[in-house]
Amino acid sequence: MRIKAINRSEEECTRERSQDLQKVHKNLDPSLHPLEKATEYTRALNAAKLERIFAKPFVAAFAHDDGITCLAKNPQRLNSLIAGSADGDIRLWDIPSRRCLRRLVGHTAGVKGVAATPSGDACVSCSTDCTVRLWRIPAAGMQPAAEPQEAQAALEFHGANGFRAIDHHWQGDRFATAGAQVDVWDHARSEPMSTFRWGAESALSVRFNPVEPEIFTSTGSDRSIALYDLRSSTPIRKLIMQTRSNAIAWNPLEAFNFTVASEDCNLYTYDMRKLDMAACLHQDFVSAVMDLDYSPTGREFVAGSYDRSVRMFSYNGGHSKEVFHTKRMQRVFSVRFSADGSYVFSGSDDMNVRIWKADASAPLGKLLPRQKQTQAYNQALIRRFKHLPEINRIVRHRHVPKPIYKAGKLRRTIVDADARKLQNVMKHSKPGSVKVKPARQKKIVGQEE
Amino acid sequence: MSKKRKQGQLGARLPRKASKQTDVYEAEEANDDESNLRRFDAVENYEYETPSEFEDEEIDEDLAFTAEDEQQFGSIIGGSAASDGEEASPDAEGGFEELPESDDEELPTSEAADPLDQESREDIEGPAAADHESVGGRSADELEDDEAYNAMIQAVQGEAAAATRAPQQQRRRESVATEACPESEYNVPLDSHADGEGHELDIRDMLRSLRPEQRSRMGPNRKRLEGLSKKGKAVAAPLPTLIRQRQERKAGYEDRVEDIAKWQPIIKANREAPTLTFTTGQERAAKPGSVAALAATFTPDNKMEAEIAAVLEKAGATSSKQVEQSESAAALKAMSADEAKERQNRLAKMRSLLLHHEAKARRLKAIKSKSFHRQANRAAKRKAAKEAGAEGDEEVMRGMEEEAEFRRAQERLTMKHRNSSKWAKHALRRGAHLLDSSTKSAVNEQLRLGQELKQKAERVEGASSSSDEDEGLASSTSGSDGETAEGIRADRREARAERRRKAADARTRRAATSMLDGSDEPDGEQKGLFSLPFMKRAMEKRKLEAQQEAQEVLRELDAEEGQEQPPSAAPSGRMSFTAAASSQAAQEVTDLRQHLQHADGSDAEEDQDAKHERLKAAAAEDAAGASSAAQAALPDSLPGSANLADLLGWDDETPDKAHVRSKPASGKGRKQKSKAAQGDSGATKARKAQEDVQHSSVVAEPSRAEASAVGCLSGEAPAGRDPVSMDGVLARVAAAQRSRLFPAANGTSSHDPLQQQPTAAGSAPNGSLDFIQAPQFSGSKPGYAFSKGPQGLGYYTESSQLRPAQPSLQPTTSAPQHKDGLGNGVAAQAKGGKGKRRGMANGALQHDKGLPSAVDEGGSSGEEDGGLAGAMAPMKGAEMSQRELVAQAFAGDDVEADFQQMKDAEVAEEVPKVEEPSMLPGWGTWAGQQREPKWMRDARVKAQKEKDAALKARKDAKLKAVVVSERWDKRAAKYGTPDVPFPFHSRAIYDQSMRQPIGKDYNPTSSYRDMTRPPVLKEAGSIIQPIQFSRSYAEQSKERGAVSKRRKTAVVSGGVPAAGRR
Repeated sequence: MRIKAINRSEEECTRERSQDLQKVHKNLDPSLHPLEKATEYTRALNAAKLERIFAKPFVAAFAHDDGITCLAKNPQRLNSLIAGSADGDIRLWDIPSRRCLRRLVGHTAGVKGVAATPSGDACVSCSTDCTVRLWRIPAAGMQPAAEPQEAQAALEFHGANGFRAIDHHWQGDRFATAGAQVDVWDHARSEPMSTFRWGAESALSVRFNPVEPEIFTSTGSDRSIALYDLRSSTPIRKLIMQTRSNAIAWNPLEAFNFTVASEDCNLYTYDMRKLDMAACLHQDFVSAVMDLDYSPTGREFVAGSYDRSVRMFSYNGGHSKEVFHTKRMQRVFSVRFSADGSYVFSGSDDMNVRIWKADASAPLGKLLPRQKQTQAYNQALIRRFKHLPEINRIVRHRHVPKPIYKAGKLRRTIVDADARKLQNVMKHSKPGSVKVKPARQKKIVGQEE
Repeated sequence: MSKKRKQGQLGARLPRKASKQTDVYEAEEANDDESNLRRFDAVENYEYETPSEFEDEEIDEDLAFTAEDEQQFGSIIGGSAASDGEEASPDAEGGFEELPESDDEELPTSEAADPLDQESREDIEGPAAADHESVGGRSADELEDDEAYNAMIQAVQGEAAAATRAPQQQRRRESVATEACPESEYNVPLDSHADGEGHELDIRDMLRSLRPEQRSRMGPNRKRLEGLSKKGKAVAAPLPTLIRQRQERKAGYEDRVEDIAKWQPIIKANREAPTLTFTTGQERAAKPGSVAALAATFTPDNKMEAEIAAVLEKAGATSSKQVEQSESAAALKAMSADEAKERQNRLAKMRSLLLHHEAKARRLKAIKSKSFHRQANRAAKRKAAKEAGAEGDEEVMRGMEEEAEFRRAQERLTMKHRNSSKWAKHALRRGAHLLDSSTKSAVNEQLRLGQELKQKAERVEGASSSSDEDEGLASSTSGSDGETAEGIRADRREARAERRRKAADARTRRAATSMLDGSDEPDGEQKGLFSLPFMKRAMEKRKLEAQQEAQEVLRELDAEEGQEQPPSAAPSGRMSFTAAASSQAAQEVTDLRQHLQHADGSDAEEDQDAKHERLKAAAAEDAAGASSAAQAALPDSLPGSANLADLLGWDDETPDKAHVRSKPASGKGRKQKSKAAQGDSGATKARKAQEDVQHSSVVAEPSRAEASAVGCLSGEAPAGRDPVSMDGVLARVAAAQRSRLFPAANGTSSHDPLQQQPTAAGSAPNGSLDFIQAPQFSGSKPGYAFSKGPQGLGYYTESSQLRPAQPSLQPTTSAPQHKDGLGNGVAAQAKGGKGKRRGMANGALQHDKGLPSAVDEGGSSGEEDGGLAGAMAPMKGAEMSQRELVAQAFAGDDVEADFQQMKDAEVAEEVPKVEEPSMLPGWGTWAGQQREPKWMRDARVKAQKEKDAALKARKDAKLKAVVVSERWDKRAAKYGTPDVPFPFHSRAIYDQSMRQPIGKDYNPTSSYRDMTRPPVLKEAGSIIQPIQFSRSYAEQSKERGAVSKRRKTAVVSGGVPAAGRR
């Protein structure tokens, strides 16, 4: 028996020089491939449908004993997630094995914020019990799952008032807390290194810039967003909006851009240099946005809202590109992106930390090169044909729970009515007398120097 | 707040009594009064109301302030009468309170815009405001304060200073009041009370208060202190904290903003890159090689390592080979003698086994296949035969010959040398450049073989064919002379001519018979146009005609054979002016002539093309010979003779043949022939026709010569520059035509046009043709036909009597020019004939050019004839030009009108329907109304207008040959967007972006990858670090931005932006 194996001679397929043309093994004559647009359109349509079919974003849920108030990812360990809950309990989760590694016990009141150190072997948490605690956190080993051990805080910092939020510096041993004022602490000191106050209102959240680590921001209950620089003793700029901002996040790829989660259901991306107008307005939520976090790729971010949904936005997209919700998920208080940009964590009032795939339809396993290529081709097709009516409809369609749907509809009605009214006013006013502010500027009250 | 403050100020200014009465805030104090008891009873007047009988006291300013008052309020009235009440407030408060004030002034907008903030500010300023309030309230206690203050100053300054104080103050010095705050050095107000002196407490005051012994005790320090106080100048007061802080913040922000702008180029580059790639950055680190590679390059470089190396060396363990050797040695040492022997045996056995195996393999290798042996045997035999052949063995030679014969037969069967095998055809079809070297060589080999065989065959036939050809050539060159000037030229051997004619006759006969039985038809399927049914029909028809001709020719030949003279009566036939038909007939005749001419040749087996090629030269004289007989019949104007004239329609065709043929002749410089041909065709033809009327074909020969002579005399010689092309044949043929077409003018008006022109116009005998000489052809005129006729170039009246002679199917080439104006069949025919003649025979063209009036026409017709060149060569249907055929095929079609009609119908379907009122009897009109009512008329006009507008708005309104459908196509709609999507600004750009497919089937791999690369590429499971600043990358990006060179990917490797792929 003769066996004919498919083979190729290396000589034929190897170029002598890199400038040489690649040998083409197929005939690319367009006349041999007619109706290419129709073919690709059909492929795109199929790809869009398949994408929707495979869109199963929910991965797992980790249970706590009370509502989750804060989450933190470990900048050094991909498999680690820290979650703080309203009963003062902090749990360290090993994500792949879906088990709790440690329970960090000590806070006597609800934990309001938690953050990991840049080295990844410790975390700090703040609570309304007026303390900030520093905990050592172990790496998840290979040992089989056991009952989670309890651990005590390594360090304890006391403040005069309860704390609302905490964030750790991206390089040094410093962290910032928000409360009655913004404090910057050092691991080695029991008193804050510096305290920033601007006005009497308390700060709600604080976040360091990952790219320019000396810069950080806070949001305040006076509806302000304040910029700070660790090198100067005072805050450097304050932006006041019409509604309160609940959270803030810096783009890890773009040093001067940050996004705030506003109480008015929208998110605003600002360029730190031009605070008179938002760079982008992200909408789609129907209730206050509680938290947001950027993907480490800087190309998208995730936000959680009081309307019980989690949405993904493109860094420059006006509307969400993805929405996650489950039947039992309650108010979302905290969201985080995983350090590799592939997963999203959300902590909600229903005592669960949920894990979602950032790309809802992406396969989880390792892909063969051909599979990768097919995926890429399908995605490219969808990107190319996304404007065509049928594909657009399929790609954009998302099912949302009835309350969200209704609230969204109501919001649209209101917005439309406002727009209509404005049109009418303009129609019956002296031309130019009605000044229309763009939506990106409408909610800005002013800047304080 | 400000309101309260104002009240405070008011309180400070008013006399104490009045203020006490009106101040509502003094309610507590009022309790102490006698009114306390009546407090809850009916009150006449509330304190905040002025009593009805109240009269404001008119107090003179001078009287209002007594000395005591002056003493008390001197600071206000005297020191700064116009100053604000605030300044009257205690000094302890002074430093603090101006800040909120200034703050209010500085930030009006923020405060107004931010009610909450204002609130908070009020909270901050709460204590201050309370102080203000108390200023008003406690203004009564100011005296005590002043006293206390003065007392304190006194106490500090001591007795020395006391002497300088005012007597009033001295008076009150003793009465030291207790202070609100504990007295200490920290509570000393910086600013002295503004008591008119403006005195400030300084170091000198302190020193002055010292007693002399204390002073002396201070020693040199006292002097230093005094000097300090003298020298010390006031430093400008620092800015208020709030302003200072604001400035700091502003500076800090601006600094940050400026600094952070360095990221701009990087961020821009990353945003613009179609793909952003994140890598861990660990792939950049060089990977260590294998352990062996590491060990191979290892050299001990410190003491310990050297030591270890030495030990290893000593133990024989430096390399693996050494270790092996030493191990085997150790193993042998460890074995006993028996064991060693056993091992040796075992090894020996293994060795012998190996040897055996090797031998077996060698034997197997030697075994070959059957085919191999066959080939090998054959090769051996061949070798042996060769050797034997060299020795001269008869038998072997015969055997070889036999084998060669066999191979030849095989070759004939397989026809390998023709490359006609399936494989060879396939290979050739694929194209020579695609063949690999072996195939190419095989094909070449076959070709070479074929060539060789051909040569061999030619060599065998060489002698006869070449001699034949020479003969043919000789006869062709001299043929016309021999025949046309039969009597004149004596150098032509009569016998030879006779023989040749006979041979030609025989060949003609053969051809005719073959034509009749249809054996000469090209076999096999016709392709292209010729396979169309109407073409087939036309061919059939022509064939029929040709067969008729052939019959006639046969008959003629028979007659000729009978009396050695052409028959006077031509065979009868249908009168036809169809150019194609006539040319076909001419073709047939030509073929016949060729056959006649070369009947003696040994080329029977040659194919027609080759024959044709070879015999071209002889055709002219053949034609002449053939025509000579026919011409005689022409003047008779018999219906039957028309066919012969038709036959002579080959004047379309013959001249070119004559021309082609003339080439060798002209090369040989046959002047005699040229002389005969020098006459102008028109003149000669005319003469010929005239003569032909009178003479029989026998006498025609000399007269023809005469005609040529006349032609010579008439000065036409320079016109006929190509001597050979202007054949007698030509002249005769044209003349025959003319004589047929101009029966009336025949004989009288047909003369040399140039000579006859002036007279021709006047003496046109019947006046049937109106001739206008054209200096230049500028399109046809209605009622006139431009042509070259017997009277030269110009316009002829379109005479209805000539109309019937118009050919039903004209050659396309001449058709466009003569279509409208050229109804004249004569003109058309003559023109067609001339044109072709000119185009094909260069001489004819030159001849025409020689005519002064024919330059333009010559140019145009020459041009049109260029396309006809192919058609004119051998007059075979298959060789007619496609163009001509197409023109013939679609002669009756008015494609444009059809299309317009179709377009109208389609457009009418797409244009929106407009309701038009229609006149229904009894509807919309009054009874008995005759005319169309106005509304209906208007409605109709309106509808028409709308329709017109709709038609005009169509895209294809101005495009004559295009229908652009504007129907909304549901199927096509899904491939397009209703409007241009967001990032695009124009439809064209969007469409262009969609044009190129991105799939693998349509693109090479590299561009496929580029087009399908996702916008973000990241490695699964690797942490992506926040980006770090890289100065070099920022600069690169900036430069790249300037020249707008974009990368395909931007790479962030372990948080550091790196140069990606371009």
